[in-house]
Amino acid sequence: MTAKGEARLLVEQFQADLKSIHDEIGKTIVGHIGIVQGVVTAILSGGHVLLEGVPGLGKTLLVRTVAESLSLQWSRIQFTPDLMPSDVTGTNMITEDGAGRRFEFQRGPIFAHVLLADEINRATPKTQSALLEAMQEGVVTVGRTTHPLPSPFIVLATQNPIEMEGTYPLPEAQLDRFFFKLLVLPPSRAELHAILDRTTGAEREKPRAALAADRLVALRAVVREVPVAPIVQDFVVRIVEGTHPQTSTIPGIRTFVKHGASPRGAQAIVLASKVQALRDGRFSPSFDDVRTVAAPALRHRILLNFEAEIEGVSTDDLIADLIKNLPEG
Amino acid sequence: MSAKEVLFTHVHRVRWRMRVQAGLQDAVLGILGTALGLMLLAAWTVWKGTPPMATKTGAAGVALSVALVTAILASRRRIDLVVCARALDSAIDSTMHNADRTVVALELAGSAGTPFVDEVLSDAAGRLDAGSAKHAVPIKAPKLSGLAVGSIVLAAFWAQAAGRPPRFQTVMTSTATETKADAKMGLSAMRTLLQDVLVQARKNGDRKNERLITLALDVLNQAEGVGPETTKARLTALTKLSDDLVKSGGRSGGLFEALTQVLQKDPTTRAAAEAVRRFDAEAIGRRFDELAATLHKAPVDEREEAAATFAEAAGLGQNAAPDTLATAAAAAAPEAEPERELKRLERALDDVAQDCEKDPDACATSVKKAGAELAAQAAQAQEGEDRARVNQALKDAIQKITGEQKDPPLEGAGAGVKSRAGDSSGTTPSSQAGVSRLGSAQKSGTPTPMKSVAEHQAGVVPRMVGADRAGNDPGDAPLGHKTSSVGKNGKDEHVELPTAEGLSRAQVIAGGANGRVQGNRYERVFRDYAAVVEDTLDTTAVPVQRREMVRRYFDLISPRTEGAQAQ
Repeated sequence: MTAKGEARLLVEQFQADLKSIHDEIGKTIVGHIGIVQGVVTAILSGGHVLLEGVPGLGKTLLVRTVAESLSLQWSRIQFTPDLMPSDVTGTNMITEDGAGRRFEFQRGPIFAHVLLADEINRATPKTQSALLEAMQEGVVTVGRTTHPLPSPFIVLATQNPIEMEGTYPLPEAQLDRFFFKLLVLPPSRAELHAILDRTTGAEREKPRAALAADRLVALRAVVREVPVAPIVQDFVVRIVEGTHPQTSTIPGIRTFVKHGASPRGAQAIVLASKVQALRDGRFSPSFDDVRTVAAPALRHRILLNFEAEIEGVSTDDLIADLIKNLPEG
Repeated sequence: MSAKEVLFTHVHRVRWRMRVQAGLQDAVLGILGTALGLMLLAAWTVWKGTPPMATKTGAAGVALSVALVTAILASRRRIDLVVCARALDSAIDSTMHNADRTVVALELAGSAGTPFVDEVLSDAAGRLDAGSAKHAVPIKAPKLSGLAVGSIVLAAFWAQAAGRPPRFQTVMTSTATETKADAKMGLSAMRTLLQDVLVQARKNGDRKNERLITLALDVLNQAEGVGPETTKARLTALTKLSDDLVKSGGRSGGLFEALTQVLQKDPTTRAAAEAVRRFDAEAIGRRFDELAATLHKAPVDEREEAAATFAEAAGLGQNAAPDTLATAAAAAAPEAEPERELKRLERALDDVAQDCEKDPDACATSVKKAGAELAAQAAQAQEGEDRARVNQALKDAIQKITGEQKDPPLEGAGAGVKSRAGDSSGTTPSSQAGVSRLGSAQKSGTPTPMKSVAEHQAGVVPRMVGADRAGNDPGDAPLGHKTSSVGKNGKDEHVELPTAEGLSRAQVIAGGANGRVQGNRYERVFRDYAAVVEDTLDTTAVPVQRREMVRRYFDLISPRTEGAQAQ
């Protein structure tokens, strides 16, 4: 427990660490400030991130840069239709040594601090489901043995919204395990100029490790200490409640939503709000923090019905409508 | 003072200011409501003529009491501290993330005192200063305060004066010359006068005014011994009776004028007379003028009756307004007998002319009747001027009747004077009524019997070959000319013979109305009318849609060939 005055110091250190992370990522990644902040927020909150964008926008580079700047061990899996769960988690193999033959667990690529699951929706649901336990519990069970994953364990997955043929949309259970779903948009003209300058020059600066794993864990603990005012927490609860068609007061949600957000959504909003407050040097999240993180925390947890697809309604539209019309207290 | 105490001090200060502001606003609304209530009350007293229900002081006292009560109730209103904290946040800094720092701190103040919570409270308290509450909720004049003050002043004055309509002020105020005893004496004088008038009315058999006076006496009897307010009501009822009788053409106006003049003579009843005069004389004068105008337009019988009534009124009420009554009587006086008779005949001839346009059979009957009357009138007319008027009326009537038959006759066809309807032979000698009988109009010497109107309507129309004279009597006008009616004892009707196509212009038009829109005759009539209509449309500001409607109508009734008609 921190004493009075130390809280301010913790917040200042938190801000400094965060700034160093952003600086290192910024050496490689041009623009995408919101995406970078979202990824860092999710990491500091202990969550996983799903990045969605068309090919060539730097999703993989972003994930790799984040992993490098955090000085974390990372691995990459290119998800394909023939990828098997054991290719992700690892499997028991027969090994032979002086004592004879025996089964030995060969760890898969999931055993890393940061797992880059590239084009996760190209793998079969069976393989996708291999991540469920790892993402939620931080362990992998193979046979009768449960293997703990290194801490922190972060899954940064990407998926392509186009070329949907031959893909397997992520099941709701797995989607719900992602802390944020971030939409990667094409860079602006200025950002594109900067990308060209950095990538076509003679030398390219590499990011260095700005944050050790234990420091990251400590920062996560600071986030957990941030208090949330009951009125703000009630606002979060009402937001999540408002995404359910049965209880929502928003006509669009009653019409187009099939299933609302789960409690994980509320958890994500609160934690992310705390990170937002700390990032700004405040000691408790505000209503605006909640509004800022509501969309990435909820957009993949709200399941739309067929009518919404026909009408072209997105979850972002519904969330914006909900936040706009929901009173604070 | 800890951060938590600072925070709560400021929040409570804001709440106090909010209550004061709400109390002021509610007090203003209370005053407004009170003013509205007082105005409604005043309107009620005016409507009912009851005494004032409030004084200025009383009205102001009620308003202030209501304002005080509403202010106290408003100050007791529950105001959530979060609302106060929001007001503070808005006043200090409403930018993003700063708009709820005080709210968050207030909410966290009740939780366990962790370092982060303490920092939150310190942070919030550090933003507050002495002027925060003042800036958050400035106490200012409530909305509508000016309107409230103005309305309550107005309502207070109105409420006091409401029970005394100005029309009764002279009689009923204690400051006037009339006291209750004076009013009683005035009523006695009125009763005496009314009794005198009642005797006179009965003598003249005037039932209307007899009833009025009886009612008036009843009213006066009931008024005796009661207060001035009741007397006012009686007088009002008496006035209404008078008005009703004036509307029905009676002479109550004169009656009241006489009444007021009698009351005016006696100093003790002068105030009552003034009151009666004030609310009756002008109105009665105006009504007499209206009555005179109305009677001038009324039928003769009613005017005669009204004139008799006025004459009686003039004789009965010696004090009646002479000018007004004279005007009314002059307006209602009957005209000289011959002139009146002539006007009646003129109207009758107008009716005949209209009948001829509509129905030839009715025309014949009307012509016969009007002709007989005209002849009799002409025979009775002794004076040259009267005879000239009769002649002129006759000419006008003939002009009206024959106005529809001025088409030039076809070649070889002679226009003549048709015999009365139903006289089909045309060979009958001149009638006793003086109507010229026509022989068969012929030029070649071969008599051709004329067809009756009924036959004309049926389309059985003989072709007239012309005639030199209208009828066989000496002095008959040549055919084709109007027959002079001067010196005839009967009534000649100038009509044109059916043309070669058989029908008069009016009949052609009537036939067209029944769907017979073919033939040269119809085409000619149509062309004339269409030309007139086109000229009118060209020279008159007629809306485009109406213009098209007229043209469409004429398209529909345009002449058609027999083949087209058959189709």
